[in-house]
Amino acid sequence: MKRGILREVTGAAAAICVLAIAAASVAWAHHSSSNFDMAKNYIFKGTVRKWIWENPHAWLYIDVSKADGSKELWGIEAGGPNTLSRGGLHANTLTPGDKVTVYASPDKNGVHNATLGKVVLADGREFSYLGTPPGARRGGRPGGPGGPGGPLGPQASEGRADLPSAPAVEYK
Amino acid sequence: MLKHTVWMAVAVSLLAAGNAPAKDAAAPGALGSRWEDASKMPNFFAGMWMSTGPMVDPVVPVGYTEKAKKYIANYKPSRDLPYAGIGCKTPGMPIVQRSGMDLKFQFSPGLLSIYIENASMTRFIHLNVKHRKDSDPTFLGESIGHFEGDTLVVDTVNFRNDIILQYGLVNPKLPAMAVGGPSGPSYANVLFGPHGPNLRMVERMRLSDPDTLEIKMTVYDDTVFTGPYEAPVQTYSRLTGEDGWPREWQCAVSEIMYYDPAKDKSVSTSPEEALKKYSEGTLH
Repeated sequence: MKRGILREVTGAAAAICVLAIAAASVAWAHHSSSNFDMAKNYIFKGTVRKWIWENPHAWLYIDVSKADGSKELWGIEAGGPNTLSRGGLHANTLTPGDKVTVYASPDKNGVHNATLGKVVLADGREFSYLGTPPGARRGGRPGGPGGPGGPLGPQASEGRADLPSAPAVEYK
Repeated sequence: MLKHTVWMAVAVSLLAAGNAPAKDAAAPGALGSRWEDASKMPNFFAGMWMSTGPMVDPVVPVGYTEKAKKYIANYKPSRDLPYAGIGCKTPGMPIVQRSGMDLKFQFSPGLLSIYIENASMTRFIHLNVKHRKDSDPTFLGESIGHFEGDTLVVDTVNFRNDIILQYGLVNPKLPAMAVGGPSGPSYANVLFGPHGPNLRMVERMRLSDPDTLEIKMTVYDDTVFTGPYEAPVQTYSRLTGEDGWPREWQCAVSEIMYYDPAKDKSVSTSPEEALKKYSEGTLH
């Protein structure tokens, strides 16, 4: 087991690089993302069933419409409410029945849970795992520490370093 | 109004002094002992502070004791944080203060408080006094502080045995956290371990510019390290406006996805089960 984990660490390190250290704090809320397959980036098109606004993570539950006409319930994990709120995504931003498009990386164990890359609302607004516009760091609203014009402006494009890097593919 | 303020200051001062033995009462004249000192201290207080540095240290400390070497030789890496379980148990100092969420500094004579939003915990730093002779171990330890010029020096002791202490890295040649790889972030390269009874953390807090807080920490533990461990400086950016308003935080749905340290695996609750339990009020 120990050897297996170390091998995984080595493998991951090969793919990493410099973002690792700087991103360590912003990615954490309760647990790490090691249980998600970040090499996959699914596009889920569906309808909001429930938006659970609780700590340590808010969860977005959506009924996903599949290509064959069937539906599946998926749970999408976002950051904590306080982080989301400061980013601009609030408890009342998502309501049951809303049509959304979600980009997310699925649970490795086959459970229909995933970690949020971004959610796109019917009106075109987009929010990342941190509640910010995709690509901004935490506190990344315009003028905020991670946003355009903010003191960390040059770093704003880094975004959440563990966002799925793979090309997005529609979930079927 | 002035009279009211003065009486309130006297009352608060007496309360503050009452928390420590009489001989340790705040020294008159020492910065932080009186209401009027608020305007003389560095502005730690406006808005909140967002951590912009790593939660775990990317470097390896100074030498290890023989006891620590034995522990490290038998160390089993942990895939996730040892405290990412149901209930969001706090990791204690120093990790809880570095975890990316926001800090709110508050002042009253003889006492500087730091609200740590992501855990809804508050550190109490008693100014210009000595440590109590008898205090009980806590997750945040017992903190005393004083100003050296523009720097707040905080000395913290008496930690619970189950706080998380980072010894170093399993493989010092690899980053502290593996981010961006096929598995996403992992703590498998971070070496956590138990601390000894004399664990002490000394922090030096100062503003490097009006909106940047720096905390330089030195860790002393004679059962783990052969000398003081100087952690890399932690930096925090000031959140202003509504972003700088403190929020409440209550752990509520940690059961949906959590880490089981006994099995070293993450546990997921299916969407159907999570929603059922949530509607019943039985989701933890």
